[in-house]
Amino acid sequence: MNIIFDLIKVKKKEFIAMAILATLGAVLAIVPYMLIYSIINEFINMGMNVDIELIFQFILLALAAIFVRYFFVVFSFVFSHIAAFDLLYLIRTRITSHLGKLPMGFWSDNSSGRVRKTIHEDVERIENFVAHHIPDVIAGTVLPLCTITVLFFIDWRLALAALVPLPIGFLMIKIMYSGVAAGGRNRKQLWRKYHETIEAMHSTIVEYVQGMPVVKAFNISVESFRRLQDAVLGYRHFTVMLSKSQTPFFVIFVAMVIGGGIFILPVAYHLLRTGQTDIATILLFLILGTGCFSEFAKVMLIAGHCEMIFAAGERIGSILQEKELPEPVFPALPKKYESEFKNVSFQYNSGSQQVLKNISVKFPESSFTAIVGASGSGKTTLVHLIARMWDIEEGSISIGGENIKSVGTAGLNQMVGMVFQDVQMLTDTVRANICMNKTGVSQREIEQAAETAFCHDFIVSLPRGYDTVIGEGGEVHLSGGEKQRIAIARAVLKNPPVILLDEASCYTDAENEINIQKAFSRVMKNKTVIVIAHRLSTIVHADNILVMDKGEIAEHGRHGELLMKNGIYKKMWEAHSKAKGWKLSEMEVG
Amino acid sequence: MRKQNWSLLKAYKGRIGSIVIGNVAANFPRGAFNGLLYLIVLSLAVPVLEKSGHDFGLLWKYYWFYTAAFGLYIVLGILGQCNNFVQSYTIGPDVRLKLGEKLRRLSLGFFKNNDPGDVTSRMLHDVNKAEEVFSHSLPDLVSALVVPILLGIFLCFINLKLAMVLFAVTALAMIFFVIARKVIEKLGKKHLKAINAASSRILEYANTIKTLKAYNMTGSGFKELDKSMLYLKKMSFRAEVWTGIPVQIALMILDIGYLVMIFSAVKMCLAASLSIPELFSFVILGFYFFEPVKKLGINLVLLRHAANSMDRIDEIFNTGEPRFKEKRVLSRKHDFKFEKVTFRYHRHDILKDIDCYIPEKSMTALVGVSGSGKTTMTNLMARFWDVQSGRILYGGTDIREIEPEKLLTDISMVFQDVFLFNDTIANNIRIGNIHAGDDELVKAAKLANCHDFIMDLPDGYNTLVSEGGKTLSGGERQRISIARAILKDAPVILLDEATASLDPENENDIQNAIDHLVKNKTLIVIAHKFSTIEKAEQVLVLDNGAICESGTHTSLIKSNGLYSKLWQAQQKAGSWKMQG
Repeated sequence: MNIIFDLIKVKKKEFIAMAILATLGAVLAIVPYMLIYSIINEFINMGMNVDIELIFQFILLALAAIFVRYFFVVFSFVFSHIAAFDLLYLIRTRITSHLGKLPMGFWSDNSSGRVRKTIHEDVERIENFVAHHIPDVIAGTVLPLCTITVLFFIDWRLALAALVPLPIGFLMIKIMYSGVAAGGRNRKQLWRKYHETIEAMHSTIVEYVQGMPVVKAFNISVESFRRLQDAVLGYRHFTVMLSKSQTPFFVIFVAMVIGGGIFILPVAYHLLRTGQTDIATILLFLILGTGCFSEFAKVMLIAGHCEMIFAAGERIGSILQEKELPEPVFPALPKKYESEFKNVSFQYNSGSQQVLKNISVKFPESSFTAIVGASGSGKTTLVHLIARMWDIEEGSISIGGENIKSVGTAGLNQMVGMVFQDVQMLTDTVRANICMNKTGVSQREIEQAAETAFCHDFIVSLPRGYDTVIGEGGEVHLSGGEKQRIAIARAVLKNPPVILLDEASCYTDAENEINIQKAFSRVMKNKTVIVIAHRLSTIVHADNILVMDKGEIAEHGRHGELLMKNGIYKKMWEAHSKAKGWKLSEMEVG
Repeated sequence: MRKQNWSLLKAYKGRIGSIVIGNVAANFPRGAFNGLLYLIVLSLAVPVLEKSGHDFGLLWKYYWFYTAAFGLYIVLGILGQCNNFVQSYTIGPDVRLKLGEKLRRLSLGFFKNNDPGDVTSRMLHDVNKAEEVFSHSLPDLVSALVVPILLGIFLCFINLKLAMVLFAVTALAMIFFVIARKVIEKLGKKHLKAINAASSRILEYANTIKTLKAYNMTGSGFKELDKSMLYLKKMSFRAEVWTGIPVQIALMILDIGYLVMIFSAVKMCLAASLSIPELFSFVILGFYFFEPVKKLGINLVLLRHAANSMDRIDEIFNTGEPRFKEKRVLSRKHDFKFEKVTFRYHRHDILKDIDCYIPEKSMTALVGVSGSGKTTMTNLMARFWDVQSGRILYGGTDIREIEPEKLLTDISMVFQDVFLFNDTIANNIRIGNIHAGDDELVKAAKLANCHDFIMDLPDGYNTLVSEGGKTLSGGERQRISIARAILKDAPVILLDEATASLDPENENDIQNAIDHLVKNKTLIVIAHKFSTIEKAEQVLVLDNGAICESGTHTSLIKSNGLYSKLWQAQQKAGSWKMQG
């Protein structure tokens, strides 16, 4: 929550302006009622002989007060909204830029649906707080305070009676928002549960929609997709339970606010009988004594809403407090591009099993290293670590002699290019998808990159060529192979000295395959290349082949050397040849 | 007003009715104790003006009635509000589940045309809004209506002219509330669009973070996200402020109206057409009249907001589902026949005049360059889309007559992009057949060669797959999807081989798994490896959406057409060697 108040400080000026205007507006709200009271008093005292001129003046004054008041209210409203929406934008950009600095591990613990909810809805709640609740609280406290002061000044006994609903209402609200009514749970737990319930529903629905092809293909009906049903009905169950438990207190609270006469009238009767008050005063109390609390009611309700807002703030805070990958103050700039692992061990979560065990290996500059091994042997993890998707606890990884931690993310990303299986397109033009963060790239350069990656031809055939919007929400949906090639074009344009490839990304279809292979060959030229290889025949020329097994480098060397070793690689090679090679070589011979 | 046709409301007539009735009932006592207040004011004021004593017996009697009405208000209020919540929190989840079921029945084309972020936001955000209408806005609206109506009638009897002043002011204020509604209707749609655009961008940002990081495009580097959030800021401000201002004006008119009413009352009083006690009553009751009217206006405006959301929910409900003939029973034959099938998507011909026969329990390979229409053909067989002309027969029946759900029970698909749910491994496999016992499950996993790696996971079959299966390797995900299909044991298999070759280090294993899967099945495979194609009884070669050649591997090689060219290309690719 502190985070929110810290952020609010940025908009100090707007907030002060808003607070002053809201206060003035609230003070003015009471003026018309005082003038009406004076009019009634006139009538009581003078009967039919009232001074119409005087009454007319009262009315005019009241009108003026109303005009000025709304003038203030509208301005306060505008200021508070300027401040609020600026603030939301600020918080959102802060979260998104923070997310960019987190290690990838964050994403295995947090679903994108959850993150979206926090950035979108939790932050939205702050708007309510800033734009509506703060001015409401100001108006809702200033107005009753002024009223009560005035009322006490007029008749303290009636004022006391008018105040009776206040503690009762307050008590009701307190019970309502404490978990007492909802089965004795404590308040914090209750609201946490509330948010968890909503979150569960969110992430399940996001998942359901994203998994729609599977849902359809396997006829997963809503009844059989139990988690969706459980999440949605869980939400129903919880909200019904919560609101049922709160309703009685809330209704009594509202009744207190509007039915203030209950307490004022007996006192008023008594005072009237004993001649200690007049009926103008009683009428004033019947209006003001109840009217002012309707504003105050808002304040009390807001107190309850604040729980929700604070919980939302907490979740915003929990993302902002996630530890970023530490960045060096003065990033080192390696001049050479060889990479080295020294005694690297790695696990995704502390306590889970090690994915990499004590890896030490060198990737010389401009060399071509292939990594092979069964799925789950740690190939992909090893390559991800070079790009610092995760930080390691044990051992060190360096590029050009500099620890990648001291190179810094931006510098490292400049140096390293990746083409993996899961290529991701942004909902944007083909052009933007190739350029990514590069600015000032000429059309010629883009086309060259596309040609190198063998995607120029199909891009030109798209409805609007390079300006066609692709990606999730785009006008055209590309095939896997087409996306791959655009991803390669990205890497070509980026032209980094270190290239990480997943060879599997070229198995899309026969025609693509050749093109992607060719594109790969072009990208690899004169680079430090590390390839996750699947088809052993493609990497026989590698300078070094690392054979991974259960997180360790079991064997390494050139193709020929490894075959001589008679170990895992040899076995893999034989299996590979059986699965595919034979057919092909027979054909070639025939 | 625009005519709206919310199927949503119709389905819940009873529940909505009970909300309305409950709140009308709860507000009668409220009107009553306001009326009693009038009597109290009269009995207080008259004696003073007539210089006589007060009748305290009567005053106390009124007070006790007042208290009784108050108590009744509390009791009915509690009952009514509990009902509001129960009804609206029943409607909301019910709508969500119905939407879920509806979405499943829509053709996949719907999901290609609609951003998933937008679809989820309809299920979440928009349904929330609808829920709020039923739990808060509607009850508030009803209570804000009941009291002024009761008071209005009452005041008409006391003094028609003054009551008219009251109504005139109310009407004037309503004009501004209506203006606010119009503004919302206009800006609200834009605002909602901005909300959804930003929401989609945020989701995209989260989903593509890896790529964005690699290109130093996180935070403000992702311009599109920044743009969408700035636009959201602008639209939010406009939507709130431009509707807030007319609302404030309306509230001001009501405040002024109260004064105008008092002033006219004073004048009438001096002209002796209104007694002084009556003047006082108008002062008190006028106040109690205008307060709920203010609320009424605000709620009318809020309802307009919700109406936009209801429209968006309804849009999904009104999207056409694929039709079928109820009584059509699936035949026992599992063959497919394409008759002059043409399929257009976004005004592009994807498939042109396809004629082919896919016999039962045989293997048909679809071959062709990417974009030639292979995947579309399999999607059409599963009826993810309907053809525009020609027809596809399954077991002799036009698939447009078969209920999509029934058709899909006969078909297993092994996709290129495997989606795993955030659930246990066991449940992810069980998607193939939710009734499968543990034995069958393990058996399928073994056949798909995934048992071993599953047992290596910390909790074995009960290990949770985190979202989208990110923690498993591509090959592992692939094999889980094969296990699903084995468990489903459908007579027709649509297989995209590209996926099958993703894990070549276990290629034998995967090949094995697939062999188990396809035994005695009608198999249609989008083939990439010629070693697979050779086994096929029939090869269909697609080019640019048309079948250009068909036959067996050997016959096609001889005919020296596109297929033999592809084959040569593949030979080259197969012998490709990376050079550093």
